Amino acid sequence: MPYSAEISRSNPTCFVFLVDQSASMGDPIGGEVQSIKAAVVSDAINRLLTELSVKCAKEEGVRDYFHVAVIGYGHTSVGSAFGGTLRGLDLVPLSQIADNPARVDERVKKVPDGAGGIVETTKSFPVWMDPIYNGGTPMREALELARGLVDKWITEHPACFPPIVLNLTDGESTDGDPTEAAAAIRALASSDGDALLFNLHVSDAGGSAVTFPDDVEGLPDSYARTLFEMSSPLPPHMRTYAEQEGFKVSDDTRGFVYNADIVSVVQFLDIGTRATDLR
Amino acid sequence: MRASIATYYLHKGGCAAEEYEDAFAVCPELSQAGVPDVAKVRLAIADGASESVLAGAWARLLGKHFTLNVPGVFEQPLTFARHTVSATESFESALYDYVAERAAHGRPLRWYEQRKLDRGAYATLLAVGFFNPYEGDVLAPTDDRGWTAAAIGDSGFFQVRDGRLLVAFPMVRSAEFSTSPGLLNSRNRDVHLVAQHVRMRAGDVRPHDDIYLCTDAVAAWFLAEAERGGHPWKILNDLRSEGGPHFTDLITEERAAGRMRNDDATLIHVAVR
Repeated sequence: MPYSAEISRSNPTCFVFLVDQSASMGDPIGGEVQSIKAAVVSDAINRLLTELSVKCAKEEGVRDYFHVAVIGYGHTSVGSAFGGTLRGLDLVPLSQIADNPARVDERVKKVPDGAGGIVETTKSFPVWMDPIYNGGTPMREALELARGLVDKWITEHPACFPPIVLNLTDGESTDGDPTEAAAAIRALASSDGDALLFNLHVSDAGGSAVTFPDDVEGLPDSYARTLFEMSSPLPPHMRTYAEQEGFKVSDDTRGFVYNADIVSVVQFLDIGTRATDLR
Repeated sequence: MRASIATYYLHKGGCAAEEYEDAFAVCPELSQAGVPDVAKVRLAIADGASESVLAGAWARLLGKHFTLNVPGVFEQPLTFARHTVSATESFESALYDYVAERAAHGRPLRWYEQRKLDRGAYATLLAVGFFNPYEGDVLAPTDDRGWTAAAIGDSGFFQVRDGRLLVAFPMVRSAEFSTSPGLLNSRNRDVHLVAQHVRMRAGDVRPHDDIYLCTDAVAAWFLAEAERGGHPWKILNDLRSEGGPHFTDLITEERAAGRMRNDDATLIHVAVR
């Protein structure tokens, strides 16, 4: 059965995050919270890296069940979005990520004081990537870079749980049609199944999100349909998890969210990186 | 009636032996007991959840805690739950020592360990007490010796009599096993919550009964074999016989054949004679 390989230190898998860093990512995100899209996406990825590190932590350190790349694509370049000592690196073992945040911010958080009121407290927030936004959207080049990383990974780990590429963007590709590059990623396979490509489109104008659709109906334009067609179906364990989270799913449900607000960015990353069986 | 007790364990394939995070405990201790009166036996088996920190330590503490001969523990869910909360207090104290020791050895906790420790360690627990009803402390034995089992999660208790499976507890079918069993958290001080989730069962004991306690991988295998019409207890009984298989070989073979999940494997076998 595909997508059932055990994820272990001797048989790890990888995540490749592709982050749109074009100028429009500096616009506000739709929804109630006042924040720019680039900040919402980088916060969500920093939070995910924190959660992954904690999830895989054991007494001896963080276990390398996953290797992770965060690739930014914008005006200046397509390449690693890590800051600090990881700057310039693509796929990095999770233990090195956990031990090398670029910095640790202190963020103010409001929590109940236990007596019906609210108090402010600070919480440390490890940061690996910062929000950057300028220029165009070289999505095709980013997908090609991801294909190269996934291809090399599968050559070195032929029995791994299939690699997952998660693309977070707010606009159309400015360097040509991305569909071929996307199909080239999905055509790669380990013995446990095809590599997965999930896409998330970040909203800037509000409107309701289309989350994990199973057909193109309800998608507003050809751009949304293109992203849908570029996205892999969710494997069974992710479908089950999405269903538990209250989404309507079918065998054709794709790893795709259109017009995402902050909540659906987090849900997309949570469901799209859900592991089956860590050993 | 006497209890001849044997214990077996093996870490999961691909991991180091010291990464074994199941635990088991037997009272009286096997090295001292010889073949004890069955009514004096306490057993516990626990499966530390590999996604938590110090899960093995928590499982070992639970094993020891529930084989202490504390009167009343098995009387009802609430008394059992109170005993689990006293285990969480002991663990908190052990944790304090662990953190201090790490700091003293120049290896203070990293940020991710601290966050994970704040969430507590998780383990399943199956504890069994055997009793003489004339001495009290029992749910409802129907014969001159009885047992009471209490379980949180998917570790399994099986009783075989006259060549057939008499009791399977708490799981009765192999299909019931999942990747998210009930777990006892080391920070859970809510007695009523634990009492709601603990499952208890009692039964009698007769000469020539065989009783098995095992963590989930072995338990699921045991039930699947029985569902196929097999007699997994005969295979486990053979572990004791001269010339019989070694536990390590048996588990390795069953894993390789895809009949057993690759996980820590632990078994306590009580042969009542």
